[in-house]
Amino acid sequence: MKTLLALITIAAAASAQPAIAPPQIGFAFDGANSLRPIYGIAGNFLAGSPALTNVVDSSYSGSYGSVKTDTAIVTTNSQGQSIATTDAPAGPAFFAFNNDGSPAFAYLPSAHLLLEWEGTGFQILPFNSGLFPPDSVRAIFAPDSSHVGVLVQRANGLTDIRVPIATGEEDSDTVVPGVRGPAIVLSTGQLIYADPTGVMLRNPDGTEVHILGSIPAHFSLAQIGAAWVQLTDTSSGSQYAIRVAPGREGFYSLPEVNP
Amino acid sequence: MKTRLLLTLALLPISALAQIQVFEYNGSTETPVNGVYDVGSATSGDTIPTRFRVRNTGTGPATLQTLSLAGTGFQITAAPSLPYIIAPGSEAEFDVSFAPTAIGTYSAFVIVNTLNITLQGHCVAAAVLTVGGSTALAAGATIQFGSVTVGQTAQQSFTLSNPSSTALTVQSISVTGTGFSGPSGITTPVSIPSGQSVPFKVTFQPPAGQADQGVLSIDGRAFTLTGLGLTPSLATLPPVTISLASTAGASAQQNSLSINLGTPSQVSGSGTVSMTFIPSVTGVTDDPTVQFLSGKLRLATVNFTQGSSIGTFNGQPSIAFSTGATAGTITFSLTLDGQSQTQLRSLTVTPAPIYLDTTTGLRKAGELDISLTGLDNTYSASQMTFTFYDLSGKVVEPGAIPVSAGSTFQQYFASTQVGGMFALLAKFPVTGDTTQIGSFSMQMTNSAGTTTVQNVQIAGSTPPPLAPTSTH
Repeated sequence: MKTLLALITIAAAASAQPAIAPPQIGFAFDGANSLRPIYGIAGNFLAGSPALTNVVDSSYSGSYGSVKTDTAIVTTNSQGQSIATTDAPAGPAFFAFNNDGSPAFAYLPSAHLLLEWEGTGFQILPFNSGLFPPDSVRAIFAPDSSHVGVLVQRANGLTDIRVPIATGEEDSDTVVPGVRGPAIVLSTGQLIYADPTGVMLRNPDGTEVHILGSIPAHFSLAQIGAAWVQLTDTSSGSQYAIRVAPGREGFYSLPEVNP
Repeated sequence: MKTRLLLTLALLPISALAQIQVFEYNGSTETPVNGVYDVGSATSGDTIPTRFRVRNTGTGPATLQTLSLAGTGFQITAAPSLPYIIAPGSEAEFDVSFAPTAIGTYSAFVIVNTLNITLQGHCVAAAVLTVGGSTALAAGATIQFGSVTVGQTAQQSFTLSNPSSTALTVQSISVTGTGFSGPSGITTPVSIPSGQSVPFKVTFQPPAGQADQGVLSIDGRAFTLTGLGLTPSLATLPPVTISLASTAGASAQQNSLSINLGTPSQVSGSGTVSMTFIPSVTGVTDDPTVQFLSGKLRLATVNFTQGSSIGTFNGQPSIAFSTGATAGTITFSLTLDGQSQTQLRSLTVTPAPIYLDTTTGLRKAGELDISLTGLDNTYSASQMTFTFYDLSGKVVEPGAIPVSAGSTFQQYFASTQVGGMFALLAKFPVTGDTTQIGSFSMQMTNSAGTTTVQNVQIAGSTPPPLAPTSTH
């Protein structure tokens, strides 16, 4: 042990002057058809200029972005720059990321299509289209390297359906207790949903963290950064940022974008 | 011919005299006076004025040539010079005052050309009326309630006193007239012992923006009440208070502002709240992250609804704002529409040591990457010190590593558009096995103090995301 430690030496100075830049929590859909960088730290945000326009839906893991436009799915790098484009029919989209932030899946309810990221673009992933109706889907996620997770709203509650990539058939079907309305599952396995007084984070081990916040009657959820989720009031357009980093959870207003 | 002419001349005055009639005139209405006219009751010291009109109701001119009064307590106080020719349909006016000196019934005889009128008046023992501590009011006096906004009320406090040596009973008190009500606080008949007094109140609540007049009558003694109703406007809003949800002057806070009225608004209207920011950091002129979180960045419209005691912003009772990332003073200025006066409220954001929002250490082959996000609201970050520890918690050589970052920060702050917020990445070359390095601590200094972060765990070599994800 002593010998090993003797071999470790850190240079007496940083290799160069530290690099300093504006902090950025991620990219968010601004409600006006644009994807914008959100600069700042918790409690103090500034929306930047649009990185992409004609946006219908978007999700950003912190490392990559998946953006649905009128005609395509655009995959972006960490800077919001396009690295791949996949033709897609008009309409909204749901996205999922792998645990390392890379793109995993996309679901297009208008065409009832499930897509898998193949490194340079999305490819159609065959599945049993009778597993769930398109309008019941609330979110998709990547629980592991071999499954697609689909959150489906059924009469008896929100249901977690696991579909193996290899077969496209249902592997499991589990009611998610105590959850109604919009919900998403992050690549960390955290389930994010709302209750009347705020937002609930349900960790994979079942523990929950409640974040106080003013939750509108109608809203949507989308991941906008590695530890950030956007909540959009679909009635007023007001937008909020939810910090989901363990121990640093918080609910904040995002500044309204003035074109 | 000569005889007929003389007869005609002799008859003419008689004809003219027959055309006049006497009226009592209260300023707006004429009431015919025939035979006896009662001017009302008064007490010693009171003066009751009465206006009379002599109207020519005929088709030809009439001459008022006789006007006289005989009797105690009455006197003519104003009259035209006689003879006075009154055109057809026109009138002449004379005033009579009644000022008795002792209790009893008074009468006087007035002759108007050939008309005889008997005036009557009564002097009664009466309580002395005062208002608001004033001197005694004589019957006929005017009590002013001033200008009152519609929806508001004004009240006058009266006192009835009995200065006599025996008890006195006030039989009746009445209030008439648009907008006036009362009396309150008293029930008649009321007996006032010698030397004692009783209070009561009269209220004025104007129904519209107009001048109103009423009468306070106490046992027949009349007092004039006047008041002016004002149409509500924003100028009549109750006092306005700009309230902040938090008065803590710190950076990176989401605060909210509300406009509170002391009482429900009598009028609907709107105003503008503008936000200005003056940095206290030398050379810094603004921070765009000091902003309202909805609507325009530095401007908000506040609406007032009649009956509500708060202003609303787009239907909400408050508007959120962020305090930015620069020390300085945020000032809110409220201007009501149509008014030049403004109301101000300031929030001072004090200089503070560097705040670190995230600290991340990432282990790579041959180097350690340390990422920080935070804010320096003084724009004066300078010295940083990093100390690394192995998995057992022992300090790794060479120990504390200083990094002079002042010039780099100055260059950054000179060009950034995000106030004092920053994301910093420092790379440390490592000789040896980086997996044996488990954590680090660091210090950052600015002009307001030193910030210390300890025991930040260093993560593995997974590809680093752009945005810092780990937190301390």
